[in-house]
Amino acid sequence: MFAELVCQSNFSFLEGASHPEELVNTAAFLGYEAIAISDECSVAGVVRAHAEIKANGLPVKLIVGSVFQLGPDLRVCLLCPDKTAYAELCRIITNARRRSEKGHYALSEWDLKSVKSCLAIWLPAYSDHDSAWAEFFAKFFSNRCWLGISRLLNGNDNDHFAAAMALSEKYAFPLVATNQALFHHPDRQHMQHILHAIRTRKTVADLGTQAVQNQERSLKTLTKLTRLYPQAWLTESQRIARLCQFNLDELKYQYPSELVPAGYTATSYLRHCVEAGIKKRFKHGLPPSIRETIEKELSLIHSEQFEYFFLTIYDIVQFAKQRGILYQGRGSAANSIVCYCLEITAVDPRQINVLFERFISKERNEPPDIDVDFEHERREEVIQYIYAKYGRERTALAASVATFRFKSAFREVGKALGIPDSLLGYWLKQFNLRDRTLGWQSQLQESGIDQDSKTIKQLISLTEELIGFPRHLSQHVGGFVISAGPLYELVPVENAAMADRSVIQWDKDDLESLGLLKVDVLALGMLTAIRKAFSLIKERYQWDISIPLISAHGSDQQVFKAICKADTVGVFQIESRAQMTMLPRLKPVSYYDLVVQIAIVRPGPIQGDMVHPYLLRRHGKEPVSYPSDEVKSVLSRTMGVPIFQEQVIQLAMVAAGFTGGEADQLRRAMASWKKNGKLRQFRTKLIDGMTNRGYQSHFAEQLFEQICGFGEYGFPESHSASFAVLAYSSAWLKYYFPVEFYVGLLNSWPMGFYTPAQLIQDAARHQVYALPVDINKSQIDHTVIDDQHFRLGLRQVNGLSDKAMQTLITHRPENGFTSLSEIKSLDLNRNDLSALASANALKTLANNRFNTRWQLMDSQMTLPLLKNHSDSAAPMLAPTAVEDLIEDFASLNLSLDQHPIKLLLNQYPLPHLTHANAVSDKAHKSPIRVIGCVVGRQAPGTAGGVTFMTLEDHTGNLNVVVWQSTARLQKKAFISSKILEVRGILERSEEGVTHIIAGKLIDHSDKFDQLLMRSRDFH
Amino acid sequence: MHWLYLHFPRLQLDQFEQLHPEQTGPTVIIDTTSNTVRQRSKAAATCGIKPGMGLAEVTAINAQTWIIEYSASSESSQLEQLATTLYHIASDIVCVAGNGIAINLGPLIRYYQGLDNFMALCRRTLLAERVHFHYGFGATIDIAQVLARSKINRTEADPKHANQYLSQCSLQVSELSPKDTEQLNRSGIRTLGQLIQLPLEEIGKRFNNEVITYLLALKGVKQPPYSLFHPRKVFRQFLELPYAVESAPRLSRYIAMPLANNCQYLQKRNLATDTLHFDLHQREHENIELVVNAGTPHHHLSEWQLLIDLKLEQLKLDSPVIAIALTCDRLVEFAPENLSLLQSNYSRHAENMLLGKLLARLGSENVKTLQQVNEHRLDYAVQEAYSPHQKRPGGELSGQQPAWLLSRPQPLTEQTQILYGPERIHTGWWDVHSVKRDYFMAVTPHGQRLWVFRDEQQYWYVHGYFG
Repeated sequence: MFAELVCQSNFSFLEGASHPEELVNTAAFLGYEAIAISDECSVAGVVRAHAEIKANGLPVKLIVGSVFQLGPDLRVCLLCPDKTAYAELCRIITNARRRSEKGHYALSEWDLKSVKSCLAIWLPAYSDHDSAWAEFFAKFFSNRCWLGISRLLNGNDNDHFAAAMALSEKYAFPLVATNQALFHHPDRQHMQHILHAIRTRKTVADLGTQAVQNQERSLKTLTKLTRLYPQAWLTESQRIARLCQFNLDELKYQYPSELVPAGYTATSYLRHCVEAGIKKRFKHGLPPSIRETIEKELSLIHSEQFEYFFLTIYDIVQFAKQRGILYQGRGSAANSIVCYCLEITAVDPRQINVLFERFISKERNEPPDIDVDFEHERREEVIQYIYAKYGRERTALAASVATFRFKSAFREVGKALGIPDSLLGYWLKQFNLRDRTLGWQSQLQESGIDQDSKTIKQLISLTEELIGFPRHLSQHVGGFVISAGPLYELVPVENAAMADRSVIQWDKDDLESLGLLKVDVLALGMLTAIRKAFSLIKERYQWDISIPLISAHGSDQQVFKAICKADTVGVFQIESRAQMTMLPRLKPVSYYDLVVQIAIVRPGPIQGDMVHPYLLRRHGKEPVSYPSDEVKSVLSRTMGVPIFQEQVIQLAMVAAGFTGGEADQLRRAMASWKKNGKLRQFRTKLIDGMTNRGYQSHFAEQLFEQICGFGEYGFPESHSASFAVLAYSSAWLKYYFPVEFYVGLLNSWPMGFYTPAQLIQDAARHQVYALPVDINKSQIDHTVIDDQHFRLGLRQVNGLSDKAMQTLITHRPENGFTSLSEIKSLDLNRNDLSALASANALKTLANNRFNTRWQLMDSQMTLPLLKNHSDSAAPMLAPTAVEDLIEDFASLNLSLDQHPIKLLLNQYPLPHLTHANAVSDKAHKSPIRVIGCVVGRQAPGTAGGVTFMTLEDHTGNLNVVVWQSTARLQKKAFISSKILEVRGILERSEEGVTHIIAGKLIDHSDKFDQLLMRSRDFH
Repeated sequence: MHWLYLHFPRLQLDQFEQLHPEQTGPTVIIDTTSNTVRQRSKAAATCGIKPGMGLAEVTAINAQTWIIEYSASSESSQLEQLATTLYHIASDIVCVAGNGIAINLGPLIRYYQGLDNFMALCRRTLLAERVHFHYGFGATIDIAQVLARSKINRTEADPKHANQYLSQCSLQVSELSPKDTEQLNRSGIRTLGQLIQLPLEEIGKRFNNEVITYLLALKGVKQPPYSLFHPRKVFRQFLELPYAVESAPRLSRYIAMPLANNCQYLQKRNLATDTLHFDLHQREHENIELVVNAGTPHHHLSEWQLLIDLKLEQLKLDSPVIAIALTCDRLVEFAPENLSLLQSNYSRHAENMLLGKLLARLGSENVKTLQQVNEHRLDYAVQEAYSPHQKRPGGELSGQQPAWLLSRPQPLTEQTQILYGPERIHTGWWDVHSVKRDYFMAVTPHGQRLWVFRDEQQYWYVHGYFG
């Protein structure tokens, strides 16, 4: 028997050429007793290996270790015999990593001297320095050092063996055989060469003698090993393996104890907090059914020992609450009543029939998932609170493993094979990755490339192999890991690309596998907008409005009426064109309808063809039926149509016989299937499982398609439920407090789907008008004037610095500035002055923006002697309407006075034109002619070659549908026009959704340039 | 009217079209820094491709568009060639930016007896070069440049007319920086006319001196300094023979004359060359291109004569030669110490002279040197190379390698005993020479040490000998 003790996976980035899973599977297959995953200064790959062994019950032991290089002469592999050694290894990796920039490490001799528990396998360099290092190991690793010896068939084996034996004899280091494996199978040598070439930015042919010269550094059969090494050296590996008793399952998360005040246990404190919450949330008494659910949830939390997790999040949201930072929890556990009582979420359990087990499943072994969104402008305060409270040693972000995707893999493999970059770039441009009917391999064939060429074949196969290989670690958007003791005793911590951020070496899947919990602190723009709207309402009316207050009022039919009309520009989640097209069809009338609405307009349900059946059943045009009672239990709340990710997973369990563990694997494969395509392997199991249980194969196929569609866009009910609260709250604000709503949105921009120009146009359609930026009236933010007006703030002026805004507001006299020289005397820089002038913010002080800008550019005006000198002469011509429009867009990104289409039509009237506000008067199937600025072109993968274009004229938006054939025949106008005339047929659905089916496309973009020239000619 | 400015808007495309007349589909020159269209062919314009368009948009409009990367150096070398050609008809030439040539008309108008005569000749010359161009005239290079870039293309003798055209030109065609142009546009100034009308003092308060200098040039007040173009110094001589020569060796005495001139030319400038190009014009057949190489650059007449004679001995003519052209463009500074007869370099010199003779006698394609390449596969680690002066770095080899390597492995036929090994070489999967071999050191009964290997089919070969 044998144990491979030095083995690097592909988490030794761009060096190891096998996944950790492949290595442990092969080791088990070959009958190894144990295998160490010892990536270079990293333990990033060990959890995957551990999970693989556990999931498949592999008869092989995993040893955690890491290889280090110190200068050119020392290479050593440290192995962990026990938990103390593991903590030690994590500490050393952390120190070495923290000393260097991201992606590198610097080990010091001192680090090695401090190793007290790890076992060392020294891999001599066979240089003059060996004896010095031998002395070192004899001194600091007495009885814990072995000499690793490898037969690599590189022509030096005999010399190396002799030298190693001499060292062993002299210093009494036992010899142990190792292949220093870089790949699990000899065939992966090609991939190793490719990775080496990518790392050194060469081609494989140019690697020369630096390249691994043969396939010896792979895992070998025991028979082969006995031919290569004396039995004693093999047996020694076994002996070391038996010394290594550390198992990753021993890692137990110690939550920060300061969360629980003295006199409480975690359980009693959680109950205390929940009881306090009940008094706040259920002021009119707690219904017995809800009390029952709370007890059930608390006992489940207790049995799974999740108390600390809930308390950690409770602590964070309490901080946010104190600071007045708006937040909203979502995720599998967030919509429990316990979370409602802990004020983590505002989803009222009385509005949604919460089944807690739906969110935390013991059987599925999922950790509870709670993501908390905070206002995007203030998330940093929360992060700083976490760092301040727990300290940097105990807090770090989870990693996110960046992997090779198709494009990067194709390009890098191509470069390594010596194909010119420009050619690769050209091919990549030709691929339509959305075309699911034709894989990229076939597309490559279609582009006329010689498929029989050896290089092209290698390009294809190696690209396929490289997809999913990890490339480097980056930071998770907001997943924090917090521990009781120093985090580096649990997992190594390294520097992130962002200053003052550190990341652990494991990603969220790894944490999940080990049952370690992370707290997601995320940023959401809509929360900022809502909070700002609340503040404005409080300012004007002294009303305290909050999200729970809005939710508690139940489903307001006025608000839902507006939603059903798709009057949802600026409303969270239901503002995209696709959502707006669906709203009049689905006709949501309650909170839960919004939950469905948000989840249904997603690639999953669309690809699984679930939308139409749902609509038909909802409107009573198709009977609601269930193939079985089990299915009914899962699908009854969505009328028999699977819409949410949880339902799909549950169906796999009840209808296809997946075990809890398998369902969990399916869920994970769904989350990362774009990365590694593991989802396909579930296909047969799912479809066979369902047909064997008597379900129609069509239903099974549909379900699988939906699972694929969910992919990375998977939308669970638990998230949709939280989003629906925000969607409803924003719709409510828009309906009852439109001015505050728009101002809140604009003051939180950039966020959401629409530009300020589009939001301001929408506001005007609701009789809410923006007033121009004015140096004497504007604040930094946009401000509410009255029910129908708001004033644009200085923040809308492009290129105006924060400092200048502050200066202007601080130094503005009570009665306002009276001359340009007063503003000049503020010492603003020239760019700031130009920005103000061009934005026409100085209109009240000077005659026109051109003139003002020209005057402010005068450098002599700032000289002390000339400060009060009258403004210089040489007046510029006043801008024309077109020039005003151009300047408005250049300096404010919007125009309050002009619309390009209106100006264009003044000059070039087009007969028989229908404006956006008159489209509703036209009959279904009638010919129509419209013109507008192209504000959006979307070709969703789910739409089968159709492009949705959005045109905007001065009266509103127009939805145009362009079929592929139409687009193909009129490419010139279709692709590059900015101002487009469309002649086509108007189509109106029963629900009143109108689309213009494009026939002829005419590009009028050039006319606008002519307009500029012509208007100037008049002067 | 002192200056003519020629603006070449699509030099690289012009060259491409000359080289590939068969390519009539849409073609664009792409600026790879911004991935946008810089130049487009007529067919591309018809498709709707516009300058400044992104590459993705171009391929979306027409996937078959021929895409060529823009190369500034290629354009400037083309510009230099054009200037060299124009140098035959005009003396004071200034190369401007990457794609413009200014010509001082002052001395030319009298010489050609009028502007029209010169312009006619100039057009003819450029027509022959098959390049697209626009032109303009002005009192300064900058005026002419703006007019040419605005595609005015009019021969106006009166400066007033030029100024009229100039005042309508947009700021975008001027040499003003994009930042200055934006500043002006956003103050309502869009044409050069508007700009020129502004008092210089006002402009001086707002812009730097470069803008003022430029405006003075645009007003025709002051021509900023410029540097004149001088053609590259290469030797070229064309010689028409007094009568047709039928046998190659007899050309030697005629070649002697331009050769002597060339050596004199080189010596005067302290230059040397290792390559001479001869164009032998045959009466009934195409020209013969005769290239003579020396082992090292020098300028000694007798040595060159010897090499040429050796070369001519090998040459067969298809028909009698009526003219000879000699071009010598590979010029390097002459370094006499390399040729010192008293130094130890002497043997090197002799070696170089021998190499030169071999090159002359056998042709460069038949003279090869050995180079060591960084490579595990020893068969390919030593490669033959044509260019004797270039060396690639060799790699460090580990393991045992023999002193004598067979160029082709031979089957092992004798009984041997293995002393050492194996060393496994299993690589080269990316090319046609992938190998999988186990190498051993073996000894024959006679004590000869061999480097042998066993291949995948278990056959044994000898690949080299130790000592």
